[in-house]
Amino acid sequence: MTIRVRVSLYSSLRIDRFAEAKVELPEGAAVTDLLDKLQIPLQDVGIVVVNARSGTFQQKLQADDRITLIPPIGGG
Amino acid sequence: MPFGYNGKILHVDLTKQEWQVEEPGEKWYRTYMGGSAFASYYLLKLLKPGVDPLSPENVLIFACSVVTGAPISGWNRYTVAAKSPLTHAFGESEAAGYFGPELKFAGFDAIVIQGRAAKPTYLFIKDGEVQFRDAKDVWGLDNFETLLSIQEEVGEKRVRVASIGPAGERLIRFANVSNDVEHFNGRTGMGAVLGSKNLKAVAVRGTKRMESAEPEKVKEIARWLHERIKTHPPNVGLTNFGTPGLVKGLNASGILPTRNFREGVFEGADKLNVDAYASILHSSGTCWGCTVRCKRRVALEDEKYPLNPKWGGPEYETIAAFGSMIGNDNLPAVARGNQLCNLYGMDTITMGNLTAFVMECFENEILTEKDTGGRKILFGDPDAMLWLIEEVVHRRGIGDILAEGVKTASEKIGRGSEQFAFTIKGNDLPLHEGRGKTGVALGYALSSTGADHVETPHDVNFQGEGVAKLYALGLLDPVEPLETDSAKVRFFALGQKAWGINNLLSICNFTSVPIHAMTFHNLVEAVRAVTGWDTSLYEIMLAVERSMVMSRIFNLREGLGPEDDRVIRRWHEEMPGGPIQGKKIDGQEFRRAVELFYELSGWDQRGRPTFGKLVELNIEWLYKEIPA
Ligand code: SF4
Repeated sequence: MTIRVRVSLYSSLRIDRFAEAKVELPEGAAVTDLLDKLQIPLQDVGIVVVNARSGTFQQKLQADDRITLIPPIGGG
Repeated sequence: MPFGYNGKILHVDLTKQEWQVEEPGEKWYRTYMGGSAFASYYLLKLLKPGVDPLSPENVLIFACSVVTGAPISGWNRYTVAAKSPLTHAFGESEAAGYFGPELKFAGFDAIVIQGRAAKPTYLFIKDGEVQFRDAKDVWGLDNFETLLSIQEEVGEKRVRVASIGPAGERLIRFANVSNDVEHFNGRTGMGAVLGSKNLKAVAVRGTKRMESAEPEKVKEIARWLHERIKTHPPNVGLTNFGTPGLVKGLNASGILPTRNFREGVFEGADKLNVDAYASILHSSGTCWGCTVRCKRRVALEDEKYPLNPKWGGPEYETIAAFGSMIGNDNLPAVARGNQLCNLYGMDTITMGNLTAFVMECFENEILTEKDTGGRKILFGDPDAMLWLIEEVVHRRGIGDILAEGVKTASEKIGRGSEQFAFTIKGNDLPLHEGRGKTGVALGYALSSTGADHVETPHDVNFQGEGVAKLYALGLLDPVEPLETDSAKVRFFALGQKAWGINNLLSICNFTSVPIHAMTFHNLVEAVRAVTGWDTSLYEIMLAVERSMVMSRIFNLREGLGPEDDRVIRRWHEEMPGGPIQGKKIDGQEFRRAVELFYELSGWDQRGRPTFGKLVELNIEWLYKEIPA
């Protein structure tokens, strides 16, 4: 079984990838599996948002989840 | 008895060598709460406008908050404030580390220092008692030697020392205050104010701990935060990679300040990023009670660029300042420059800006070898940067002019060098590119300390659903980093106050709202549990605004006006390449945004808070201070 999630990428994460796409993942996949699939190293991600809430790398994803990934480009 | 704080402010008169304790009462503490507001309060009360910042009349403040020293990750910062010798306006700089909590444990929430000691002196504060000590044996020593000597002299291994190095003694206008040589109140030249007062250091030792109103609740939130720090992505990044982790993303996004803010992409960034850092990494370090452990120590056995793990490792700001900003991709040299500045007690952000300024002047033949006794200062040459550090700290040759900071140095040099001198309110720029995050540009323009990266919302984090982090403030629309429209002003006004919570309560941004592990809800819960006050996010944010308005009034009193709320020329010019090529900040649009900010803040068209605003903030007593 697989699930489809909607992924939005921002700033440098878009380079050679996409701005927004549907991505297929095995059932029970976590955010880290999504990163593996998109070949995004952990260190390139600053912020993870899942369904308009702060997400974690370990978080398990469900079908139709909306995931936003933003690189570490903040500061302060 | 108050919870979370001591209820005691220490007043020190260096001229008379006297000290006394003020006990302002709960209402005062609840009105001002800490850090930046304590500083503004005393500066407005005790300082006359127009005073020379390096004269005995300047007032120097070390301030914690009502919650500093509560056992929660990141609740450990403190502010050093005075009228700035660099900007001649409100000066303030925060640092984490261990000094803030120790000051609280020693029985005081803040220290207000006036006058000037007749000879070099340091203060030793232990458990409510204050000693004026002769600093003749430590005067002239660098920050590390000073730390060791004071530890030995007072016979306390665990004493925490905020000190100045030779730069502060020589009144270099961007001298900083070092806290155990790993944490720095870097900005706005507070070290020069200590130097002008003949004050080498403040050493503190306290053996008590702060009591909370609801200790079990505080423990519960601290445990929750501890767990969240392990899984919350921005904190996972900081723990694993530290702030050097920012270099790559900024460069790939085209917003890594490069060659004096001329460009946003640095071809050598791969040699400065976190993978490269591994070659000099010694260990990670932390601050009082913090489980993030984002600090980095470096070591290298090398003849040219030797690195000592006890002298601090470069953070993102320094990597960019001594790296991309000067076109240098040699990381050991960056780290060496950082350690020299740490020992001498100079701000690396200003030193990097100065170096880039000199390099661009050389490129344009405004400065030549004639000005430097034969030394070429060109982009890409790390040894030129190290050479300049020595010239500045010894006030030799051109170093004596540069010791005045970018703005004054360019005015003294003249010859058109001003076109390459980038400052806002006299403060040179932390390493963030306003053309790629206009919220930061607004922050730099409107902060009372001039260009200041900890007083500004970094808008790139709130794109798309990233804005979820600000839902609690009622901000529901995604932020567009490149826009300067009304939506951006709304975001900025709220975001600035969200960041301001951390400055006010002396909390480390890297553990706190809005980006890092703490949530608005639990932050308020924790303040309630520590202080026992029936407080709210509303009351705290009102105090944040009060603090910002007070420092604004301080600046108005010093003669600053709406013309000072601006950004640098270069940001009004097109970015020459990279992902945001062609992007510039439109001058008129930006002005409209600044004026819109005045309007929504309850300030008049000249940027002066209205009487109504002061009434709302319960600081009518300051109305007479606002120039007509
Ligand atoms: S997050 Fe980093 S800088 Fe902040 S208190 Fe913790 S270790 Fe110190």
